[in-house]
Amino acid sequence: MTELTVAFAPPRASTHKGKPNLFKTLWSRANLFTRANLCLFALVLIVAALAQWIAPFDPDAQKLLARLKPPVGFGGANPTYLLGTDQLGRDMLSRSLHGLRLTLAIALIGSMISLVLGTTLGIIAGYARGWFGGVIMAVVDIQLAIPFTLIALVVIAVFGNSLPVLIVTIGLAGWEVYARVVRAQVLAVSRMPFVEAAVAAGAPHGRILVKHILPNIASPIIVVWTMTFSALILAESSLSFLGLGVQPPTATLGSMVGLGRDYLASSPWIALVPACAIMFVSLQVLLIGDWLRDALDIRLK
Amino acid sequence: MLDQLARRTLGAIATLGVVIAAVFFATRLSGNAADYLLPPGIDMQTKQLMISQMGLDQPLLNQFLHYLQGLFTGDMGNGLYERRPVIAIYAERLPNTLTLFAYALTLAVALGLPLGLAAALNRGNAFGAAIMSLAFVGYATPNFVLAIIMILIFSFNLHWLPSSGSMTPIHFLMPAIVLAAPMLAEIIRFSRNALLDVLGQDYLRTARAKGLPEHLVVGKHALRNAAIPVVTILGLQVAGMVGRVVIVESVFATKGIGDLVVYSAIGRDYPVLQFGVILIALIVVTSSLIVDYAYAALDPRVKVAAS
Repeated sequence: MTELTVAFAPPRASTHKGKPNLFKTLWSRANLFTRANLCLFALVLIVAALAQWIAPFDPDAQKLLARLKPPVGFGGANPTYLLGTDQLGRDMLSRSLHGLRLTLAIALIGSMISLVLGTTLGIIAGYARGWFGGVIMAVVDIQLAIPFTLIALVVIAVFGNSLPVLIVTIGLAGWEVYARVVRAQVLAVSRMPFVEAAVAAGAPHGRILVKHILPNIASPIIVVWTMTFSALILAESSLSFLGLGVQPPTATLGSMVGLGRDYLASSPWIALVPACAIMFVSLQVLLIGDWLRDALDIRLK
Repeated sequence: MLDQLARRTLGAIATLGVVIAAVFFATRLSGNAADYLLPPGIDMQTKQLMISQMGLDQPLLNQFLHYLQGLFTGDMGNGLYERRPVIAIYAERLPNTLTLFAYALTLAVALGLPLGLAAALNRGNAFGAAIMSLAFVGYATPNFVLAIIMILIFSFNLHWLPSSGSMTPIHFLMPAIVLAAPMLAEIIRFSRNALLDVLGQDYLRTARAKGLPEHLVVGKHALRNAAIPVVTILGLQVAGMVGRVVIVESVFATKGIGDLVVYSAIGRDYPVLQFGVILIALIVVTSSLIVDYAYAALDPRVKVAAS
């Protein structure tokens, strides 16, 4: 029996060896456009993280004498306010930077919630199977059948709109994608000889999951993460736009667009500045997701 | 496959059941129903009377059964703001949403298929690349951003189209375009890829080899086979489109069910919200079912498998 154990000693999962070079490999598979986009996105992240120190003004400070100033380059602009001011004389640049930070933070925390929740449930459904796995997949099917906006509307109507509720709501979007992908991957990987070998060698479930299965399903999880991240940014922006997100005066990019809507005819920049920021960031994330999927060579579904 | 259709149908019914139950219990989670169902400031005696009249003093299960009964008899209570039956409010709003859907769907399919076809046939040149870039931007632009940009251009600068309302067919044009945009992008992408897959098949080479003119090769042999995955994507897109209609209607103030649901959620008008969610879920679930059946009708392999 001991001989058998030795003979079927599980091969080390290959990703362990390749790990230090993973980023290099990925970088080498990126073309110039993708590299520029990655650098730009890193810049966006840094700027958002440092919003507090970079922003020239307090995002909520109102200056009624400097209301509705257009961005620099348009008639009547005040060079102090690079991107103009809103209807209360708040600096658009400062508000956009803080809004960007909050938007990205909500999407980030929300995506972590859906990642952990979806991956855990997907592993349970794929590894343990049984009736509980069936229940999980039934819930996944139901959530896939219902537009997320509806779920969000009900959750926010019931629990009120506040930042924690918004984050949890965003976390509820997208977990079903992880659950589906992870379950399928776990089912496939569990049939691999090295997992069977580990089972035969008497490895406990925890060890099999952590050492053998998780490293092999990591790439699809990363790909799903990048591919759902832009959807989460858009989901958050849409809810905030409708007035169901954070409470004023705190703003995310979406709620800034929502408030700017009333001044569209006279002062379009109030809505356009944050709108362009949302579009820019979501486009970047989508492009990065596409590149990662191709570079890691993952076919989903 | 018949088996699978039966399973799909059962799944759809189960989904609706879960939605109906979830909506009821979710609104009960937020506190005493009497607090929001009754007007504020009424005296205690009237309040007690109305509570027992509405059955709110009954056990939760009885209330649920009463709610189910109301659902089947079409009595879903009154809207808290409009003070008239929820069903009547929705009956007034539904035609606008269906009109918007019909416009958007027609637009997405009528433009998406030819553009996808053009992109596939012009693969590798600038025209094909332009179509695909357009599709990518259409896919990545949030619908409220697109809506605002369109309002700015077509309503405020060019004065061509009205920015809000739902009085005339012209009012539906901009919302329909915004609603259709992501679906259009998906249809272009999928029909292009499906067509490219089919164009590489042996039977197309055979069709060309026996001397068929190119328009027959593409029109008769390629398109029919490429249509199948496109139908699938239509089904998947319907849920997304229904989700988006909520936002699009509230941007353009289209008096449809999406706009109503948003305002009922903001104002915590639970009877209206409950029915809205159930109605929208019903629309989504039935339309995906229709697509499933259409798929079975389109794909000859499915018929073979069934018989």
